[in-house]
Amino acid sequence: MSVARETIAVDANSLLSALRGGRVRTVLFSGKFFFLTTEFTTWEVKKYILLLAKESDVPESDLFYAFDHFPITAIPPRVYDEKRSQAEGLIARRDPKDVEILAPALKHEVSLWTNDKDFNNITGLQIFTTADMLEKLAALTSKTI
Amino acid sequence: MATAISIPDQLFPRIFAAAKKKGFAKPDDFAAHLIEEKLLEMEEQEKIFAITDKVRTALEAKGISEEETLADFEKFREHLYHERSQGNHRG
Repeated sequence: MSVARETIAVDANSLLSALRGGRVRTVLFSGKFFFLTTEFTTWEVKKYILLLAKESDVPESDLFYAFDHFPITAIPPRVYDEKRSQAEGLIARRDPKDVEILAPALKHEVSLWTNDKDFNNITGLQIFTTADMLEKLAALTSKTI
Repeated sequence: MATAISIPDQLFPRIFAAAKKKGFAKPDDFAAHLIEEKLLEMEEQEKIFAITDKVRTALEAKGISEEETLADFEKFREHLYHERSQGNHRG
C-alpha cells in the first residue's frame, strides 16, 4: 500500500550539493518525498552556477538545465510572508540568511532538510540532515521491496 | 506489436480506476502511458546525473572537496545577502 509522500523543505546547501554531484541526489531524485524550497533559494543557487561552471569547466547551460530539472517546487515570498517575522525572531540572530527557508517551513508545518547547525533547537521545527534523509530513504525503500 | 506483462492483482483496481478517470478506454493503454512517462523521467534523470557527475569529477581533479564548495557557497550567499540588504538586489 503506498502512502502520501512527505513534504520537506530543502535549503540551498542541499541543492548545491546535488548540483555538485553529491550523494544527496539519491534522496532528491528518489520520488519518495515532495520537496519545496523558495524562489529566493533557487535564485541563490542559480547565481552560484556561474562560478561553479567556471570552476568545473562544465557549461553553464548544462548546469542550468540540470538545476531546472530538479524535482523541487520553489514558492514565492508572498506564500510565506506571514511567517517571516516569526522566522526572524527564531533565527535572524544566528544567521539572517536562514529566515527565507525557515518561514515556509513554519508556514507549511514541514520538516527542513539542512546540514546547517544554525537550525538546531528551533522551537516547532524538525530538521533532517543529509545522513538522516539517506536513512529515511533506505527505510522507505526497504518497505517497498 | 504488444507484449503482455503481469501486474500484481492488488494494483490492478487502482490502475483501472485511474485509467477511467484520465479518460483512457483501456487500462492497458494507461499502463503503457505511465511506463513511457516513467522511462522518460528516468532518462532525464540520467542526463542530470551525468552533468552533475562531470562537476564532481572536475572539482575532485582540482582537489576541491564538497565541503570546500559548500563553504565557498556559504560565503557567496553572505555576499548576496549583504548586497540585497543594501538594496542592490536585481534578481
